Amino acid sequence: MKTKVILIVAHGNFGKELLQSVQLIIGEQEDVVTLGLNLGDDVESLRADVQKIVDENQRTNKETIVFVDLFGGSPSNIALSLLKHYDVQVMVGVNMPMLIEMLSSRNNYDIEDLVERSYRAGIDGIKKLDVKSTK
Amino acid sequence: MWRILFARVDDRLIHGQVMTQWVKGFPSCEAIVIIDKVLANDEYMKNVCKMAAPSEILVEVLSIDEAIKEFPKDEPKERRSFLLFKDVASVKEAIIKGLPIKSLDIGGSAKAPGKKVIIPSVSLSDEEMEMLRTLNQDFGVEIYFQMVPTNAKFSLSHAISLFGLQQLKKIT
Repeated sequence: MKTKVILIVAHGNFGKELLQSVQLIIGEQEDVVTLGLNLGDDVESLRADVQKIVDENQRTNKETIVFVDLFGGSPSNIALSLLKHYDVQVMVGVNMPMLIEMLSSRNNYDIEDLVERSYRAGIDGIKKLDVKSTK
Repeated sequence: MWRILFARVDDRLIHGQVMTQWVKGFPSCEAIVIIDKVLANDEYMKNVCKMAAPSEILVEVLSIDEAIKEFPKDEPKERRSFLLFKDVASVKEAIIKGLPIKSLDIGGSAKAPGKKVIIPSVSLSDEEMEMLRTLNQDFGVEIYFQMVPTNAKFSLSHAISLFGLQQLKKIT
């Protein structure tokens, strides 16, 4: 099975901090890269950074799964622009459950199954609860 | 025919700030018109932009010349629109060619060598500042700097003073 590299691209420090928080739960992870977009940053230079990482993975025969935070945001636009030229998977709306599922199952499944599992975990992790839910 | 609700320069075009803050701030907005030559010729990225917008909002991507042609079309319905440009040079060209923009938000322009920071999301070169002065003085365009609606709005004279340029006598 090919090594799968997780690339998180998000606004500000969200990606980096999300990974930190996930590592509190599942421990240190390898092959995870985070990139952030901050005020005044050039979106084209972020696009170049993303492409460099994906190129490098492709060259070394690794698969890339890109997580981004917000549909319609610049990280998401960059990730979607990659799909034209690269064979990558893109997951939009990253949250803790989906990242935990991805990282803890990534050596056990093919990329398609893995992406599906992570997507499910993300959605299942969202709940609307009130006191009645506990009765 | 379009009615311009809002016109903005933003090098990221459609993105988080625009979709979550600006478009929501104009609930009557029916269309986002991106005026950009490069994007107008890139079918794939055009579709990415269209995907990024909510389904009730039409996204059009036009070159400057297409926009000039489209604009005065005598269609029965006016479409309340949001105009986006990637840079100051494009908006200047569009206004000179006749696009009737009266008020212009400069909301996003990345930091780069030789550019000065005006607000955290906007850095401009001397040349771009001169273009904005021309638009204001010769074309009567009100120019302001604002990233999202909840941020303070800065005037062109504020930006001019940051650049150490001679103050305009009158800001129209």
